[in-house]
Amino acid sequence: MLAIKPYESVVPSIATNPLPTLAADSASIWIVIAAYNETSRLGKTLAELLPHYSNVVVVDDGSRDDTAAVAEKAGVWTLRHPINRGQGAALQTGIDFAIQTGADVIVTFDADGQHDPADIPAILAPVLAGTADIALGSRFLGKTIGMPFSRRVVLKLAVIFTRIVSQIKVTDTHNGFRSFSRSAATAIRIYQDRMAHASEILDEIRRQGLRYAEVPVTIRYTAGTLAKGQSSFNAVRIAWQFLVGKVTK
Amino acid sequence: MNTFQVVSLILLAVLFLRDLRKWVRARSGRGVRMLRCIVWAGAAVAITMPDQLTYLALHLGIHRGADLVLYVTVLAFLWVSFTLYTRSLRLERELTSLTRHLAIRDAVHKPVQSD
Repeated sequence: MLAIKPYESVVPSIATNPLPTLAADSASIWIVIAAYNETSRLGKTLAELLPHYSNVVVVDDGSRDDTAAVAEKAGVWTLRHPINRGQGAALQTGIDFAIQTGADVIVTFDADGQHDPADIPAILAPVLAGTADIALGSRFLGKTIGMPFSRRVVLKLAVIFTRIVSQIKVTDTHNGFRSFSRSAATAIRIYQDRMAHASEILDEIRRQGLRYAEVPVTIRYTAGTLAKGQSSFNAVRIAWQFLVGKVTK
Repeated sequence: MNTFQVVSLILLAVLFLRDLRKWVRARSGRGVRMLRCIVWAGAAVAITMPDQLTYLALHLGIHRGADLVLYVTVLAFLWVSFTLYTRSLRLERELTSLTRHLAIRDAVHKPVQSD
């Protein structure tokens, strides 16, 4: 296990009754990775993770390439969606599996290498310490490497959108780097199969009154991740999916 | 009777008789078949007797029969759209649940392979 780095609590916890604390070395920590056509990047991501975390589950979301084979070869738990259902659906599948397997804490982590495994101890800390049900990674409190200006603008607009619609004050809304306590992971059910799940999670945190903390993390952009990532137009579509999902739930 | 009325009536008669036959034979879904028969019959009346349609429209506070048809069509379109969209969302969720069930059931964990 990596050593736990000092945790910087950015958003004061709204907790009045602290949750039971978990020892980092004995808690069952599961890393959930949703992957779609990630043959070229998944292997490196898993190679960085596996020396430190043994409970890793990759959900291959109906990839047309060898993503599942790469995961199987790395020796991690591999789940395959027979057809593509979207990142939100894949994460929920991995979370369900981790809960069934006895996870105490669940971390969601990107397959494409955008997240830094060195940040995992920090994202685990508030949940392990019992000061939060959910820890949310924030690139705007942490660091970004190679983020284009247009992406920064879109993400800032998403923050404003979330403050208005979900009424939750966070600095980063579509960051897939999070940790959940077992009870929070059980309480939150992702119905937004596609990318709007990130907004849905924030919505559920507020609706259920869950305790959250934002944790500075580093997001690394590369030409490959930017090519596959969400375009500015997609941001509008995600917002639309989220709003429609809210009224048709 | 003009050409449009003749062609429309033939088409509507075929649809009406087809649904009537299925309504008689059906064991379930009879309500939907009956509704369809009523819609075809109503369309036939509206096409062949536009004056009666205008008369009905005036009684409803609408000045023209054509406007009545337009309003009813728009309302029906919205109802069908919402119904189909909701059904589509439900199917999507069921599809995801099934996919998830299969993925978890067939989870694989192989020992690390050395090259």
